[in-house]
Amino acid sequence: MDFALDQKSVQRLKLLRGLGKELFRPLGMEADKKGEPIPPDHPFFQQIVDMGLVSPLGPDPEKKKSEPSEKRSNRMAVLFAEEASYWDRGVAVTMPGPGLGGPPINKMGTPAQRERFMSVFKDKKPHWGAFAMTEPSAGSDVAGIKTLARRDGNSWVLNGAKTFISNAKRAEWVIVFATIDPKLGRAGHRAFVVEKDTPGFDVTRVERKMGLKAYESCSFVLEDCRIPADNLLGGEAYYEKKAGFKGAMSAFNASRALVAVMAIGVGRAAWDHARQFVRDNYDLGRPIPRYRRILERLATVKRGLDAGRALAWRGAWLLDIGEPNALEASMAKQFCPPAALAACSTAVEVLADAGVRNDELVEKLYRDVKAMDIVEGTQQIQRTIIARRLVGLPQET
Amino acid sequence: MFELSLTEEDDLLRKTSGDFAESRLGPAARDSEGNREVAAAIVSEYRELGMHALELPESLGGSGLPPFGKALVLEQLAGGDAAAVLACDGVGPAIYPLVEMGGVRGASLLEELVGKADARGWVIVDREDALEVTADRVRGRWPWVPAEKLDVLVVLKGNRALVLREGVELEPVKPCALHAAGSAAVAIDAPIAETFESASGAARSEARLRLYAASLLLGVAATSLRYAIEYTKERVTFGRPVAHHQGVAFLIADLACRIDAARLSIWRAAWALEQDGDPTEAAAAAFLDAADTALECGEQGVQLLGGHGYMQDHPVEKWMREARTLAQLWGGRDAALDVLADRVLETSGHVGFAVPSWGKQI
Ligand SMILES: Cc1cc2nc3c(=O)[nH]c(=O)nc-3n(C[C@H](O)[C@H](O)[C@H](O)COP(=O)(O)OP(=O)(O)OC[C@H]3O[C@@H](n4cnc5c(N)ncnc54)[C@H](O)[C@@H]3O)c2cc1C
Repeated sequence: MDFALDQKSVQRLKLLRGLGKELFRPLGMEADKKGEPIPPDHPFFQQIVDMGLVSPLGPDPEKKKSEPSEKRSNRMAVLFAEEASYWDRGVAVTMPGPGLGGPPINKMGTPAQRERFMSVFKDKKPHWGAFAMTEPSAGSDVAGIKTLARRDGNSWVLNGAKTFISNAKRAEWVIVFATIDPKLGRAGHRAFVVEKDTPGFDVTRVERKMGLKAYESCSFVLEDCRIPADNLLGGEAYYEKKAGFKGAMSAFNASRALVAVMAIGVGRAAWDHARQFVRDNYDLGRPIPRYRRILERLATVKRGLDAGRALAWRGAWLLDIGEPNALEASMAKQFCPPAALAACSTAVEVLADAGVRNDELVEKLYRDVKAMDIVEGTQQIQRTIIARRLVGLPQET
Repeated sequence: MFELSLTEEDDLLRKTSGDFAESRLGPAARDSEGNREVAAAIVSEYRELGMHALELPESLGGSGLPPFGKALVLEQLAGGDAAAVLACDGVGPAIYPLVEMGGVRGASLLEELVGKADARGWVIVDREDALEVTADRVRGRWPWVPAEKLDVLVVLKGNRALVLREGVELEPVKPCALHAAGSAAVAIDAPIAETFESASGAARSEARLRLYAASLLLGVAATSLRYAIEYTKERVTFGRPVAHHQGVAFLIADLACRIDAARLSIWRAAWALEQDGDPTEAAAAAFLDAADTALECGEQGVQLLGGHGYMQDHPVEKWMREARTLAQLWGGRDAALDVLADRVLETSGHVGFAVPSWGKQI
């Protein structure tokens, strides 16, 4: 048992820290002030690609059989995700790369599909992928998606609407989950790759969000959107295996611990800012009545953040050693966002009247962090997953 | 015997202000936020209804209502748009120190200000000695006030109220919320126009400020929960309305209890202000009850709408930001907690609610 980081990881984190301070934080603040996402042709993205940094999304499937290299381990990914989110969670999501579309391609895709869709990221230019499950009327209740997929000769034809999809407008391809028959529930689900500029695929709006302004959350429609049969992820055979789709969903256990730890990163940023504010403004020279309480509250916040981080680390570590982590990943995802929200809210209060100013960072973090309790399964959904495993809470329809 | 019913007049106040919030303030709230001001037509309707002058003494052209009436009205109005209330209230909370501490001079100042449709006032409570005060000047910086122009700024410092009329520069800053009221950092290098001093007056002023903020917070909390209840009754997941999942239903029940408790706490503080005694503890408790409830309802309002709550198509994200911002006013939760901590050992342990007599605790 060892909670210490090795030198190499520390070095990598230092590199990211430099980048975060110089680029992530200022870009994130600017996007927030303007209320606009960072445009895809912004030089920042090319810089990221030139530095060989793509969004940290877990192990390389090619190396899955052997011991995952440390650089690509889930443990390294949680470290990176926390540090990147510390500087700016919105900017971290704009990082070029396959994004949340990576895990399904890696987990479900055939070798030919992996080659076809992942090779685009090798050309030294910024490119993005996206992942589209949520629909206007179905978010938590994934089984309720209505986007319909119909086989027609050598094509699939998709009809439906997706909403809140990160980076969909700039993506080279979007992984679209659809159903071949809504009556079949999850068994009817299929994952498709819809490529940019496919006729019938139309991004209809970029949402106006409370925070996380640096990246685009998009709604799009699919109207008789015809894609090659080859774009069915994994091929027909994949879905005939009983465990097929369920197995694929387990890929998201990795991202759940990541999102959890991202919340911790945001919370830690707020905590750090408040701590520095107290040091700068209320040193012992000018004790104020609430000085002691502020210190106690900062200590309480830190306890929550540290406990949350440990839960997320456990989720990632279990994956690295090849153990199931569904319960542990859900525990991290349930615990971390509220702890981080409390950190941000406390930071706003510690700064007193300055805390509600947009240029003081903490109010932005308070707006940003709320989303972490919604994406990748809300805390309510995590509770049902945890309770199902702990006390056999019956699964709903 | 204690009695919690409302009079016909109270009901009418609630209805009038509630209708105005629903038909005028609410529908315009996003525009007001975007423009960082409230449309002139709405401001003048607000004034025609006399909402800005409810607590102003009748001798100054106001309605002379006790704090309770204003608390009822503020809750309703904040359900429409709390930022607009701050904008439309004009001299707003600055009337408290002027009425409670200013005597005749305070009254004549108010007479001058309240007549002007666009006059704005604000109060700063400088508990931590951030501002430098000499015999005739106040200097320093204040990080944020919800206004972009001020005709009068009152600095409450201990038992004194320092009235500033010039030498107050406002530099607009972007705020977390309440955009429609304006938002600025303040650079002060100002001659003191008037100094009023009174221990009980200062305590009553602070209590009324807290009651003002608490009533707005309660309005935000209640409107957020109402909205989330309607939404979760309609939205279906896993084969039933979201509100019918037990985890959600229990949360809604908890929040509803907290709102009612906070409302009664506010009413108790308003009652304490009408007694001859020190309302400080009751007002601080009301502020904390309302602030904690509003922070929770603001955040849970977003949560209950899921991803939709995070988008600006729905108002819940605005209410979450508003609760966070209103809960900072006049020292926020920390200052209110200090008040309670200072007094807790002297509080009576008898059944019922006591209003301590003056002098004991100040
Ligand atoms: C910033 C942001 C980025 C996003 N990016 C993406 C993306 O890239 N791709 C994508 O596919 N989606 C994305 N989403 C969508 C996100 O995954 C969904 O919003 C989320 O799953 C919740 O679904 P919903 O919004 O439909 O809420 P609903 O499912 O309608 O939930 C509403 C409320 O009901 C509660 N609830 C629902 N069912 C139960 C139950 N059984 N028991 C108790 N409570 C329940 C929820 O917890 C929530 O509080 C994003 C969302 C946001 C805010």
